[in-house]
Amino acid sequence: MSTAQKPLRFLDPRVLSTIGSLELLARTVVQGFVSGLHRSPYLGFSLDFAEYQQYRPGDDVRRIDWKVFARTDRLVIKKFRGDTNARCFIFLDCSRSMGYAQTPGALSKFDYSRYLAACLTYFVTRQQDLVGFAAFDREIREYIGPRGHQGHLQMVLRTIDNLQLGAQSSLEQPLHALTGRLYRRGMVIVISDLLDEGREVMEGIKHLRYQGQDVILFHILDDSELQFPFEEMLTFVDLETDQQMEIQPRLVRKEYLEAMARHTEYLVKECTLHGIDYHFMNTSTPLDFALHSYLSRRSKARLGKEQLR
Amino acid sequence: MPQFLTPLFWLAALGIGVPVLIHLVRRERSPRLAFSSLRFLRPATRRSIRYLKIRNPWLLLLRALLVLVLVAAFARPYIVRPDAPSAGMASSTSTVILLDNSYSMVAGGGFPLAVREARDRLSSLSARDEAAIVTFSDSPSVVAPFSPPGPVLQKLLETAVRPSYRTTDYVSALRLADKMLGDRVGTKKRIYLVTDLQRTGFRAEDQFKLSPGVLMELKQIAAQEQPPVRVTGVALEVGGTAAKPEAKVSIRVLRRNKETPGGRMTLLLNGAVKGSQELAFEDDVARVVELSVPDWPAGNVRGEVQAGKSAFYFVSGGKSKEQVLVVEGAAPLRTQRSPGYYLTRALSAGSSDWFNLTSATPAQAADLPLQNYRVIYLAGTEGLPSGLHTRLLAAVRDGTGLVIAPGIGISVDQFNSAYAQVSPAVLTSRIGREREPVGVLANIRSRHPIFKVFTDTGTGNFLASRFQAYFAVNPVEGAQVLARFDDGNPALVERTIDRGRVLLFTSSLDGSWSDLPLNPVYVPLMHQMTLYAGSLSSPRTWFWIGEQLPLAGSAPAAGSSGIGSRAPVAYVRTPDAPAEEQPVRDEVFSFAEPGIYAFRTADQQYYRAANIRPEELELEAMNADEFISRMQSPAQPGGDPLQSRPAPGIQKTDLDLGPYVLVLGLLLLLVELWVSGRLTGQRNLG
Repeated sequence: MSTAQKPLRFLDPRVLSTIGSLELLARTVVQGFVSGLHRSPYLGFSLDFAEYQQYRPGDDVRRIDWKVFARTDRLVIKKFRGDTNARCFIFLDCSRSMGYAQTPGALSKFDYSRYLAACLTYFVTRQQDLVGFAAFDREIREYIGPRGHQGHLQMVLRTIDNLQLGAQSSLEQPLHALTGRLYRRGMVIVISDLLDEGREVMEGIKHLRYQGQDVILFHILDDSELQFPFEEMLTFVDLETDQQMEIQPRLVRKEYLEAMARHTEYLVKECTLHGIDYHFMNTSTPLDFALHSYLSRRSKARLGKEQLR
Repeated sequence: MPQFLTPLFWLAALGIGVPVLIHLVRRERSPRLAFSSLRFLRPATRRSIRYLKIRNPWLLLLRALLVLVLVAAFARPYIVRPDAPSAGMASSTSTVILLDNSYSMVAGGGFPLAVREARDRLSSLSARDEAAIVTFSDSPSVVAPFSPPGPVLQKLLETAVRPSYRTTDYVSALRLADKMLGDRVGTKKRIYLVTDLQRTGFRAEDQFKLSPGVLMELKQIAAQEQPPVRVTGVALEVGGTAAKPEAKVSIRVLRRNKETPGGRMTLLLNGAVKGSQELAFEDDVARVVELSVPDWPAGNVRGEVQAGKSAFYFVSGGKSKEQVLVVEGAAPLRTQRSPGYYLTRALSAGSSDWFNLTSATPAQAADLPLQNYRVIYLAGTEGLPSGLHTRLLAAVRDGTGLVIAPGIGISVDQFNSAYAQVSPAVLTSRIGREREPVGVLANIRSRHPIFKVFTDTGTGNFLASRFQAYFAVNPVEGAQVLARFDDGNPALVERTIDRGRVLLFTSSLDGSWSDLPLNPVYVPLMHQMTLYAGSLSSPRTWFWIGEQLPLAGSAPAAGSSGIGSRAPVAYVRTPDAPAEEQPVRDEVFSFAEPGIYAFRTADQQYYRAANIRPEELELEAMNADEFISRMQSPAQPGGDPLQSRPAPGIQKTDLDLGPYVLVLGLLLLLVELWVSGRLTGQRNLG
């Protein structure tokens, strides 16, 4: 195994799923992410994180962290808590479709999404940002307003850990409801499989965008939902509606993939159109990718704010 | 190429649709898979269901094959192997050449062609083959048993095969050929029948079936010519005075059809033409021509009627009717007929009036010259007037034949006392067989002159007569038992006293103790007993070819050559060798050719004539298909030569594939059960 891969091993969701504690999992991921950041495949990104910020000409040289420079040959400046004030809201889909896994015992979308939510929560907290959390199916099931204190992290992580699958999903309604609860601008991270009418999904998300929220959309799907690798005649049972359908997969695979592609393309197009960060992830994607995405979005947001000043 | 005994069973192959339907329609549960959403599957649903998948196609194929194999097994497949050659004789043939040498082949001019055909068939056989030559007319005759088809058989065809004057009988010939082939093993079996397919060769009741594996090849020789006119019978009425006898000769003539011209008919007596007449049939095909002969020759007359190429021979004169005396007792009580009633009727039967019958009571017989009678019957008499016994014995010693039939109402003691000197046996007791089982004549000496004519012609059902009573007898010394009842008691006993013969019939000759008089064999039996007892020759003067003439005379004729262990019974000059006297050592003579025969016995000389049976002159041929159908084989239309096929069904030589296919089907069934069981187990585990 190459040196570059070693840190990623600890970010492999399948490996992480063996970690019993969600907090520990989150910490592992974040610390691993942070420590391997300079070897991250996402080099080139302008990464900002709560404690350090890349030195740019004009910054106060007294704030340069020389220890980090000694270790990494990179000029970074320390930041103080007071510099963040970002509000991040994690919106997790807990509808029953999220409970799908290709094989029993494999990592489900729900578990993956929870790990993701936990990692993001932990990371956001380490960034000195305020983090809030909500879970929804066809309505909001859990809601924790954005806070920044240490106890809040525990509470969110505990909530995520105890979260159960809900009922049938319907993104539009909960997103509208969430929009009504968020009074201040910040970042909203939506984690969902988006298995709903594309138009309804985008209506909800656009509402957030119209409110001035920065939205990151993590589209979580299982590999089997992407490739539809089934061969034998199967009776497919809808996890949310319990509807059954006996299908010869070989005969429908092409049309399914085309439909899935059309749905995804629609989402990507709409998100691009409305300035929403769309990220597709399957349950085998390392979690640090999500962290990178968060940081990238966050830095863009800060850059935008500074330009506005 | 396999054939099928029950091809209609293939309709059951439609059942192959059953496993197909089962595999398509059967709602076998497919595994369930919890999927996140069916949203993107809905558009494809209808199309997916429309394309029903056949689950387990290999299992379906196996089941379909199983259905087909079972159907094939019940359709009874077999491979026709007309021959089952054994090792060493893989393709050799055993052929019986059946050559028709009946008179119709001669009359139609086809016999030389038939011999040539037989010769050609021999030539066509290979050295590995074998052939037998059998000629047939009214009976088959093996000229050569199975031999290699070489020069020997060819020579025999040239020298040993001769046409005959006899009629045609196909069944006896085919039966013999079939039997001969039945002994051959490991070869193809063929009958090559060369014949004119004369319709009269098959009697109405004839039926015959070739054995399985025997094929008959038919070569029809069409009649080259047919006699336009033929004489089928002659009747004489001799009258006039002793000085000037005259006769009317009635001649029955047939022509082939109404278009055939009659021609001329000529009557010859003793070789001289005595009459001639133009035959005029008008609209008939048959007519009787009467010729008057005012100067009928005296003595024996040898006659011949010529009509076209046909000739009919007859003999007349030189022989008076035989005198027969029937002494009958009184009619017993409760019987409607006298003891001699049926006997006299039987001896009077026949248009020839062979016998001059005299019936008398015992008292009346005392006044009769017993020595003038050739045969004396004692029917139902238990005794004769005083002195008649002595005269009777004297007549018997002198050559008069005596036939005794005691019958009902006879006292054993009185009979024995009365006829001790002449009777061939002593009566002991009466045996009643009124209750079942009644007595039957079960054992006869078939070669005795009395019965030989029945044996040779295959006629005379003696078993049909039922006897309710007869006498148990003890034959005297020197007597011979000629027939017995089923319980072993003698029925007919013979004794010779000097020149005379005495026959004792231990039952009655009337209807009181049996129904023998009602049996068709009664009349000819009475005639034969009379002829034998009186050492008489047959009164018939002309016969058909193939019939037999009983020869009289118990002593060797003068001039016996002494050749052979048996002395000749008579001498004969035949039509084809009239200058040569040939000894006849058998007690019957068979007529083999038409013409006049001259017989000489110890005490007489006489002529007899023989003619070809009229039906043998009917040359109408059967259709070949009709012939084969009479063989109970399917006809094969067309083709020359025609061949018969074995009867439908699996022959012994065919390879019956049914059992093998059935076993294959059972094996497939076991495999199917195993495969489907494993698949079911896999689904359960899944």
